[in-house]
Amino acid sequence: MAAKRTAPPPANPNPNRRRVTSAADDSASAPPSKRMLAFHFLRALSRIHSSTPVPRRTRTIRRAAYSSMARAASPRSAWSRALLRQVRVRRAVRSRRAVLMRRRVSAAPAPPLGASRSSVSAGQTSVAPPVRTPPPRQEGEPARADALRQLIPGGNGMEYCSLLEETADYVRCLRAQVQLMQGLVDLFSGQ
Amino acid sequence: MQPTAREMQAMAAAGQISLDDLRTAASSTAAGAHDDFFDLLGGLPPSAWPDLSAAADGKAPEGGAQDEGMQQQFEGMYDESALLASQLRQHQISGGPGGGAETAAAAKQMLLQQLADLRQGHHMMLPGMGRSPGGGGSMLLPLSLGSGGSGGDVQALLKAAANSTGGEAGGVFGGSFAGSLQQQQQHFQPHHQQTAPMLGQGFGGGGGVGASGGAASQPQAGASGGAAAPPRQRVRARRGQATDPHSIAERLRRERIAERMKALQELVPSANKTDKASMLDEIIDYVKFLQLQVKVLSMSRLGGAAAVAPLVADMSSEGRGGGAATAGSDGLAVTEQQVAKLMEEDMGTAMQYLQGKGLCLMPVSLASAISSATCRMRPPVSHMAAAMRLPGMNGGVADAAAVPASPSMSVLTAQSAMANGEGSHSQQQAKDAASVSKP
Repeated sequence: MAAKRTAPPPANPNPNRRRVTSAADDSASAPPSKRMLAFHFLRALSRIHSSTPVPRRTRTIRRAAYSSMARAASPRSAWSRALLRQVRVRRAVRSRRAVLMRRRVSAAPAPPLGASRSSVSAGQTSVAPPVRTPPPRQEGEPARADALRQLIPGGNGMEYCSLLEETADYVRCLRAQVQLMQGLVDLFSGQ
Repeated sequence: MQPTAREMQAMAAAGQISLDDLRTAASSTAAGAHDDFFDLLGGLPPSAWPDLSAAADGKAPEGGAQDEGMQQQFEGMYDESALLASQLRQHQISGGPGGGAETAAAAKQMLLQQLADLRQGHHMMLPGMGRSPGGGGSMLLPLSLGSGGSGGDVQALLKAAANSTGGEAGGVFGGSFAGSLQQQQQHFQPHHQQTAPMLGQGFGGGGGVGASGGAASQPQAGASGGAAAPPRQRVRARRGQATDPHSIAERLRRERIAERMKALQELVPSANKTDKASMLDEIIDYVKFLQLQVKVLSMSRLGGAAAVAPLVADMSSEGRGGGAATAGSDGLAVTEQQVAKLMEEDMGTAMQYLQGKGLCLMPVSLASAISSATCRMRPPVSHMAAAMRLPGMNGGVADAAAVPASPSMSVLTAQSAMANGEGSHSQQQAKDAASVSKP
């Protein structure tokens, strides 16, 4: 399967650095740099295409989109860290799938596959993903906030206030990513 | 502060009873004000007072005690306080033998005058600082500062009663008392002397209400904490509003949530911003929509290696051909060979390969029909026709969500069909009754 590279991005081009400083000046988070987004995404795309074209490419491209989005976003936001953590965990899970299956088979009263895999992977991975803390008691906000938590990566551990902030950042990045992808599609289909 | 108050009370008891309240009030307020001034002004000008203390040493014990007490209060005051000192000295000198109490009373009135002047000076300072919390209280707060610590704190309490639901302060100090104090403080500036008794009454009332301890300690503590610097003043106001940190934290939290919701509202393109609940639903729907768009676009991006060739310097794509059009046809040629090879082995793998590239198989007759149809028909209609064809061909890839993306792709179909013309089709005809067309 086409694996996503975890190599760090090269020397930060100026626009991103400038944007980071401006974001530091403002209290609100700055929109993600389009250039970094495009760089990461295109690099991932080229890797996917150069690797053997396999049927299940949709999912791979989608994951590449999210990963590039998470890389391009400033690491200050929690959702980007959660996304990258997910990617790493998934890769670890994938690489250890053989071991997991053996363990699952050996353990006779086997719990359902997903739970076992996630729990064992949680124990196995060196970068142990944080235990899903129950959502802290929120005084203000209603049950709809749980749906939002599920949507935003890493939303389960946050309280409502930071969840809203992360949502704003996530929406900005998502919108930039969608614009980028749409632009690419238009570019290619316009040939 | 307490010793001086007691001192004053003792002196008043010894002296004239009629001015008792006035003295206590004046001394307390003076003490409070002086403490404010002390903190505000920092170091005391000792040079201003030694002559005064020397002069006070020679007084009658009562007057001397009074003066000393007042001098202690005066310590650490300003240039304007030097005026006070001179006036006090004059009063002492003039009225030395003639009743220290009267002198003291007059001196206190002068003191209050000076205090009022100083407060005016502080009024000047305060707008510059301009950090009074709450819009409604902004007018009151300078006055409150001018009236001294106790008044200031009560003003804060007034604001609390007026603005927020902050309970205990409003509860402790009744509205009537607050109103009366308000009036007094409004009057304070123009009429110095008249306000002195009024203030005394007010403070006497306040002292009566809060005499048990909370209020008395609060104003004085607030005064001591108090008008030194605007940040401290703000904290004092807040403490006055709601003493427990929980309600303050609650308020802060609500404010933060509100401002973040506002920021989200600007991001999410929903025109009707009615209330928070519906806004939250809108946000959730928008996030879901964006994620769906990413998914759909990633599906449409399966358009082969040729799609990425123009943008990314890829060796293989360059090998196939530099230009976009040539790369397209060459890519197709390579693809066709691959498909032909795969088809000999197994149809399933061939189909999978094609699907992986985002291509589909269709009968040549259909392809030619499409190409001819697109030549004749109007472009939008051709979009529709091609779009309708493609989902049927592709099978699993198609769903309702793919249709929005496909109109852009169908342009490619039409163009490639027209560009390739008969050439590529004829090449394949030999192989099978099928043609490969790029979706």
